[in-house]
Amino acid sequence: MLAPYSPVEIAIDGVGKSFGKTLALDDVTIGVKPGELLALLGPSGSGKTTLLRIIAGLEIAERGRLAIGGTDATNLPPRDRGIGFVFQNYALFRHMTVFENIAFGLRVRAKAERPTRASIKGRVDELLSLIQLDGMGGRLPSQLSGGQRQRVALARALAVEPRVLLLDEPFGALDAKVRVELRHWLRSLHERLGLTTVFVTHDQEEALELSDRVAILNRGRLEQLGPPREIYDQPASSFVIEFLGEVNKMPCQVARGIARLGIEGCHPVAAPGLPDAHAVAYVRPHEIEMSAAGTPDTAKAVVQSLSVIGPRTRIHLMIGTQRLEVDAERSTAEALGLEQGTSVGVKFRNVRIYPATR
Amino acid sequence: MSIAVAAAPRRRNALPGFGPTIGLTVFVVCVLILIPVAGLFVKATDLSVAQALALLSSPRVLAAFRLSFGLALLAAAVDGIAGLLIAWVLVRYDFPLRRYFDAIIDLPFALPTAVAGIALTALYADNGWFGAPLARLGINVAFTPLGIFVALLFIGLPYAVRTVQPVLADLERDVEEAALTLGAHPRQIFSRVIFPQLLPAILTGIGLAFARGVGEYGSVIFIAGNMPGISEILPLLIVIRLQQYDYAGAALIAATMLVGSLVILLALNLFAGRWVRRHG
Repeated sequence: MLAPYSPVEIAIDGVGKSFGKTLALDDVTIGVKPGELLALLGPSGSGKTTLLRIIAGLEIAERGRLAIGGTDATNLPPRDRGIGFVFQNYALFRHMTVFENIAFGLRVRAKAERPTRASIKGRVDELLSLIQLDGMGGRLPSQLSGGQRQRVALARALAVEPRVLLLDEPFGALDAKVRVELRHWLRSLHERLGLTTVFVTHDQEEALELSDRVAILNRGRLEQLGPPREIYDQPASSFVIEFLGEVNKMPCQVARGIARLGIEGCHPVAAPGLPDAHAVAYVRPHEIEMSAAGTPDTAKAVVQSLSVIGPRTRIHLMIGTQRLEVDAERSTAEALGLEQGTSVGVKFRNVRIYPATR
Repeated sequence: MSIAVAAAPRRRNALPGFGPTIGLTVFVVCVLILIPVAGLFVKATDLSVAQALALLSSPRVLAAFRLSFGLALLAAAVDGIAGLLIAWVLVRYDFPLRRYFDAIIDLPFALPTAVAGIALTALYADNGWFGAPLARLGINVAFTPLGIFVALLFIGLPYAVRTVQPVLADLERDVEEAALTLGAHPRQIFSRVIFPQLLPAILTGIGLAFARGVGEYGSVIFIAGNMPGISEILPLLIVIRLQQYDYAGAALIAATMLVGSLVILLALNLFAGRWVRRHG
C-alpha cells in the first residue's frame, strides 16, 4: 500500500557538540544499519536528544561528520536530509485539522514537486488508515487523545516519505497503558515499513524491548552499543549495569584477578584483568538464590522487610551491614516461610565486578 | 415544607465566594460604566430627531467622524504590524539592553498625554528635529492630519506590542522545528504556522489601539492644528460643544462615537473569535 521505503544507513563519525562550556556530545561514533531500529538510551543530560537533533539537522555538529545514505549531511539543512521527526510533545499544528497536519509537508513543497490535490488526499487517507484514524481527518488535535495525537505526528512525519525516521521520547508524555500499546504498534509498523529508525528514550525497558540495537550514552559519551541482550548480559561498564534497572552494589577487594566480597559463605569471584584494588561487585535482585538458613555454601542474611508485588516478592535483606534487594517468585518466599526477622541463606548466581568509579 | 427542601437538588459551586464577587462586579460595572453611558444616551435625547440628524450630517461633524475613525483605524493597523515586529524582536532575539527596550515600550502608557503631544509637536514642527528635514522634502506633519496620525501611532503602539508579546513567547518552538523538518521554508513557517496562531492577539491589539486612539484628546490637540473640516477630531468637537453649554449636542456626538467604536470592536472580536473556533 504505502510507497516502499529504501532503507539507508546513518554514519555518525566522531560527532562532538558543546553548549557554552558544557560538553553535550564527545566524539560519538555510531553506524546505524539500513532498516535498523536503534535506541539512544541514557539519563537526562546524556546527550541523546542532542545527537538525535544533530541527525535531524536541528543542531549542527561542531566536530565530526554525519552521513545519511552515503552522502555527507553534516551541514545540510533539515529539509534536505530526507528525515521524519517526531517530537515528545507531538508538536502538532494546533490551528490545523488532522488532515491538514498530515498534508503539511506535501503542501509546502515547491509547485513543481508538489503532488496534485487528489494525490495528496489519497496519501493522507492512506496514512490515516495506517494510524487507525480513518475518517478523523476533520478533527482538530485538541479533540484527540494523547496516543492519537502522537500517531498523527508520526503520520505527518511519514507523509513526506523520509529515508530516516527520528523519534524523540515518542512515548514520554503518555500514560503507562497507552505507552505499551503504542510501543507494540510502532514495532509492528517498523517491521512493515523497514525504515531506518532512531529513537531516544530514558526508559531502559522501552529500549530493550523495542530496538534492534541500543546505544547507551552517558555525559555525552557512548558507553556501549549492541543488541539489547548483549547490553543486558554483558554491560560494558558500571554505569551501564547501574542504568539498566535495579542492582545490588557491594564493595570488594581484587587481588591477582580474584575478587573477594568479604562476606562469610560467599565464594571468591574471578575478575580477570582488573587491577589489585578496591572494586565494586554487582548482583541483580533476581540473580540471588535463597534457601533455608544454614544451607552449606550460603551466606547468612536476615529479612528486614518484604512486599508482595503481584506474582513476585521483593525482599530487603541484611548481611551484616550490607543491604541487599532480592526479587523472587512469591512461591519461593512462601516455601521458605519468610517474614520480617527470619534468617535465610543466600547465594549469588551471577556476580559482576567493575573497578570502583573515581 | 421540609419535604420540598429535601427534594430540591443541591447545587453547590466548589469555588466559594460566588455571591459577594458577582454582587461587587455588577455594582462596579453599573456605577462606573453602565449608568454614565446610559446618562449619555438620555442626555442626547434632549434633541429632537430633526435636530440630531441636522447636527450629525453637518459637514464639520461628518468630516470629524471621517478623520477620527479613519485615522484611528489606520494608526491601529500600522501599530498592529509594528507591534508584531517589535514583539518579535523582543521575544525571539537577545541583544544588549533588551530589557530597557522592553520597558521603553510602555512609555506611551505612562507619559501624560499632553506632554506627549507637546513633545511630538516640537519634534515635528517645521523647525523641529524631524519636522525641519521633512519640511524641506515638502512634507508637513505638525498641524495636519498626518500629525494626528503620528500621535495616534505613538499612543496605540504599546497595546499592539503587549497583546502579541506573551502569545508569541508561549508558542512552542518544536512546532516550528516540526515544520522545518517537514520541508517548510522560513516564509512558509511564518505564514502557515506562526501567523495564524498570533492573529487573534494581533486583532485584539489593533482593537485596543483603535479604541484608545479614537477617543484620544491630550496628545492630539497640540499637534493637530484643529482646523475645522480638516484636522479637527471628534473629541475636540465635543469639548467645543461643552464650552458652548450645548450638552445635548456633545452627548449626541459622544453617543454616536461610542456606537461606532462598539461596532468596530465587536466586528474585530467576532472575526477573532470565529478564527479561534475554526482553528482551535
